[in-house]
Amino acid sequence: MNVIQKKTPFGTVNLFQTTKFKTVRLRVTFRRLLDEDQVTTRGLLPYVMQAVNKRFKTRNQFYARLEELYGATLDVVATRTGLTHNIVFDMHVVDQNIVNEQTLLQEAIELLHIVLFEPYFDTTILEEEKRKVKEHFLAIHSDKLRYSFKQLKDAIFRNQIYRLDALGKVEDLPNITVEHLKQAYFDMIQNDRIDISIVGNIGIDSVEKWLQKYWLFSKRDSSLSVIDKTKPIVYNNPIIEHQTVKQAKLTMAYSLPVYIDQKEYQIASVLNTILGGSSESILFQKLREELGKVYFISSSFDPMKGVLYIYAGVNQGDVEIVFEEIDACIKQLKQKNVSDKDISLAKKWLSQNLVESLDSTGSILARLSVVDLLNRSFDINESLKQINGVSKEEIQNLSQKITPIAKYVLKGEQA
Amino acid sequence: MKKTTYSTLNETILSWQHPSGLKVFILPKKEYHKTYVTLSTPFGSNVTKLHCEKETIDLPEGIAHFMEHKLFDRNGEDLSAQFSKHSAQVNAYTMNNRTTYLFSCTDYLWENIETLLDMVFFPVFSKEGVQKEQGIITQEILMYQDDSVNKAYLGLLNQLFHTHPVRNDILGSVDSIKSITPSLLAKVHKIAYHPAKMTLFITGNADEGIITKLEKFVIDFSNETCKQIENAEKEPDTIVKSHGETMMDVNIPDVLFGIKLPNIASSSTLILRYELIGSLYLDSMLGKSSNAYQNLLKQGLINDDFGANITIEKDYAFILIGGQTMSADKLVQSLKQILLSENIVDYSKQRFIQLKRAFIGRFVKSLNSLEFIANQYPKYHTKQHTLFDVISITQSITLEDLIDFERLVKDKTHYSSFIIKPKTATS
Repeated sequence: MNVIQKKTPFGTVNLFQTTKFKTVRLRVTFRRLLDEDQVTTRGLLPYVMQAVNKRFKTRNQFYARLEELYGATLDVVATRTGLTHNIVFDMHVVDQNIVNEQTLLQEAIELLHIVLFEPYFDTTILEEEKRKVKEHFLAIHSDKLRYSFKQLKDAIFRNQIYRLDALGKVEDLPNITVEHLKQAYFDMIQNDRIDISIVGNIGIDSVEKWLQKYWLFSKRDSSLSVIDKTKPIVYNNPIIEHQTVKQAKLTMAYSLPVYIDQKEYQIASVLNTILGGSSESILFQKLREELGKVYFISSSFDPMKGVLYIYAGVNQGDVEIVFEEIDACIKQLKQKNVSDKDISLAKKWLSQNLVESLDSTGSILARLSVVDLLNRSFDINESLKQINGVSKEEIQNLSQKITPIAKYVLKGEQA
Repeated sequence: MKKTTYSTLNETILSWQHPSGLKVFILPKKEYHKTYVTLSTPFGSNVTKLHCEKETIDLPEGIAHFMEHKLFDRNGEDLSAQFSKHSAQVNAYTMNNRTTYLFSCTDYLWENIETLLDMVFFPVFSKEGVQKEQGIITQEILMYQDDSVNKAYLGLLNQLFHTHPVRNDILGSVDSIKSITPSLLAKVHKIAYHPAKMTLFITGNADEGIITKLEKFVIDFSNETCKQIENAEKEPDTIVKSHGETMMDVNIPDVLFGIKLPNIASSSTLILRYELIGSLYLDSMLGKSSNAYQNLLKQGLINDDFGANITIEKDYAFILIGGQTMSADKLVQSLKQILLSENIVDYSKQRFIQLKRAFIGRFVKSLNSLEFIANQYPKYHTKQHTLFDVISITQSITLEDLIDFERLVKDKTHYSSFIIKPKTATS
């Protein structure tokens, strides 16, 4: 395993050299700051570009070409990392030596090049993609936990750009035209920061050649701020919504003003793991294993916004008691009642996840994406050192900064 | 110990049998940091009775899943903590035909294997533990009742199968799990978790040295004289009902369309081959490069949620097609038309080669995942082949195989559909 990170005038190029995988994966990410006026058009852009292009003018033709390339996939997605809006093109192709096709990788890279540089913006395709985005938003309602999370975030980030979905706003869709897409495309190619990552058995000389032949992007400003310190809206009373559901869903937000670029970040990661980040966490052990009140309960930390979330599936009649027990668990943290064993287990959990992430192409790419945005080097050992260096006192001091923002409850319909 | 090498894939698998009868496989992948281990038994939710010399034990629905939960409990202690102590993360899942316990670790491999074997083979069932678990599993059952995809799946299987237990919820019901007792669990465990029926699969950062340690681990079970019964009554060839629907608090309908297939794979050896033929057929008919898929997309009937898959077991087989759509009834009609149309599949040689290449590529990609290998290998291991023979079996499939398979999906009396509609119907 060898990681090479190369700064270019348009962004960072990463090569994660390894022979452990049976594939080569190549990801091109276009990034810029989230812009409420542009978010929906940019959200549609990769999906329209993935569907057809000037060489493959129907979806069938394009998919057939991917099938010819031994089922290569070109996944696209619009994502958000804090305040950045990312458009991702992800080509994943089988190692050509396994299937004995010596030009397979070259052909896959050429196909990706066609997608990026020979787009074909067609009204019919645009309308199909708009419909799919609309249905994506409608489908959130079916997943009750995801829906609850969205409702909580909509409430606490109301009027803030942080509330936006990477796919934008459903109400923008009808007004977007092919012309808007074209403008967004040229803007993306000419102005976005571009990070390219390759994972697989590839030499740096091949990457240099591709940079000369396929990825000749002009110089651009590559600095982006991902962190949003705008304060969320605080609610003193729980927000309660009723639907026809058998199990109530609780989602809660707490302020924990620590950010990914600060040295306290790893303290917050350990703290989150102790509270609800693993099956050994205080919340899981108390609420599920001891009291049997929930089927799932967990916490997560957003280090781009300094917000800690807790979520649980709860028997309708137990909502109040679960709230009380969660409050008691946070109080326990603040009153310095965290054991050395809890801290040790949390550090082991985080360290294991970090090391295991090197065994997955997707996790490697996700990690490279974050270090690119923070302009850092890919250094797992340094992260492990930081996690293991977190002290009990640091955890206890940081836990004092946890303050409630809001509680949201999705319950069954009232009788 | 037997060593088998698959040179095309650059994989070597070691197989060995523990004195207890437990089958052990090791697939070393030294470049990986983690090791992923599964221990599985063919005891799943489909087992409804255990038949011993003088006794037949009727099993309440959901007992296989209940057992899975309870094996983590040792006198009130959650054994997950033992794994966490040794830098491992443990989990388990119950399927229709199998229950699997698993962990991944980056250190202390042997200590974690010992904990897994101890947890699975030497359980302690207490009254308090069973009562507490009834509460937790009730929560799990309620959670899935709010899940439209799960509801459509169970609704459809109830329409496809008259008596086969595949129609039942793997979790059982709030009522059925009430009849589970510590003594029943202990009795069932002795039979269903006999090591001679089970498979231990180790892959990732591991080597054959682990066998020396396994040899010394004693798993003392009495001789196995009982058998599992999956379906006491003969399942008719017909379906129960051709259509059903229910309303839920959703904004977009869910459609699931099913085809009940005859029992085509009478032996384990045939299951893999027929699954591959069936999957290739579905790719050719409804894959993203097919005309039918693109027409459905153009008509606004499907989105990226749409998919099709096939399930083949020794005593049942079915195809499921569906996804979220704003035009549920129209999608059902269109799927029927596609299935019954003549010449819907392009049987040209070029297209067939293209589909096979894509299929092989997808399979090779999935071998990046230790989880995929460890979870799939036990299912497909027979005297004739293993999971790693997927490429050669795929290459041996002919156009005639696909044409033969097509005949199985043309009987419209075996079609059934289930729709989840929004409470305020928009479809």
